[in-house]
Amino acid sequence: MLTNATWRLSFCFLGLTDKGFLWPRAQAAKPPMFPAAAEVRKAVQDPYTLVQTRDLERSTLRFSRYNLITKKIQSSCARARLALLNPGGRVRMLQEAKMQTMKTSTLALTLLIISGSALAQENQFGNIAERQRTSTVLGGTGMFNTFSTRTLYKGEFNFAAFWNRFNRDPGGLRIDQAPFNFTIGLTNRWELWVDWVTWQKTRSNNPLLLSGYQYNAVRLFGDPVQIHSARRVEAMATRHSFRVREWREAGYSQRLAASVLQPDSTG
Amino acid sequence: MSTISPAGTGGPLVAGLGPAIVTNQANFYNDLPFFGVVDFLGFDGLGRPVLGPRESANGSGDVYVGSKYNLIDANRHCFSMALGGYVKIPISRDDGARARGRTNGEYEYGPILVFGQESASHRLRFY
Repeated sequence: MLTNATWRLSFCFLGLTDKGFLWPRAQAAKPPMFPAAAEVRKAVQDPYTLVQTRDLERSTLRFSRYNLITKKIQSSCARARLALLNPGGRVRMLQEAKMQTMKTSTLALTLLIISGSALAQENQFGNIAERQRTSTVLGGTGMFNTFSTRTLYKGEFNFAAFWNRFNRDPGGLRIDQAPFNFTIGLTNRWELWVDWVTWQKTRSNNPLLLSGYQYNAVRLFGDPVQIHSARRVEAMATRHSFRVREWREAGYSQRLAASVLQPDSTG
Repeated sequence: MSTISPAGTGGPLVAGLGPAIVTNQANFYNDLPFFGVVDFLGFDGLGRPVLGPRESANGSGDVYVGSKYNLIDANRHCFSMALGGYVKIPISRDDGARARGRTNGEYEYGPILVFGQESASHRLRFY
């Protein structure tokens, strides 16, 4: 019985910036044991210490890099001080810091996902069907909208995020969803899942075919057979926070009024 | 001015309230039967209120909780079976949320029965 957990989640902190890894630079910036000039000359003259001389040259090179980095940091600090004195610069600094944080977070998340995928593929056990257990859009083991008979084993869990778009009629509906679900194996044969549609957008390409509009118009403004006074409708509209002014400014009311209010055939 | 009277055939036509009525019967998508946000646009030259349909709306959606139990193991048999069920918990029961197409505002539940067959070293799977 395969009871081992199939997942291995490893959290690793990577010192990343938008310019690359921090820790290799920190290593390079470590001050080497810088030899005295006389020792260098002596080492150069002695052919048997050629290897040692190369090492010393390398150390010297690294030391000069270290100096360069130190100077860069110093100049950055000076710029930061200047920027902090200037209110505009402060805002700019905050924006740059925010952008760098976002870049770093995105990069770290991407690496985490990639490493997670790699780890998941490394973990080879069971047959191919056991290794390919994924989550459906609704949650639970399966693929897309189809459940499979397989379940997660005890202690295994799976979380998934989807973007789901589908079209339905009448009304030319286009529904976008962003569901997020979590599935956990309670026993080797029993799993439980929770799914939340975190965001859903419904759009109608032909709204006048849907009776929901009439229903909501009546719900908000009363019986359509009895024409209410303009004052009452306006009060209702204000209560429901309709943005009359914005719509009027956008010129939308004239266009929709033309389409909604057709000529009265009864005279 | 509506093309069909809400009072029935021969009834008075309606001006101003609601968008032009095209259908004379309920017409909706089953999962979101109350979708349809109406915006108050202003008044026409005769002082009648003008409402217009808003084409799209959004918000958070429903929550689903489900479970599944494997009755016949696919590792031991070529035929497999699982039994489960789910419950949909509406994110809101408010008419506004229904109108925005976020939910139908109702609890739903249903059983799930899955049959499966795996062959070719589990590479070919039917569910």
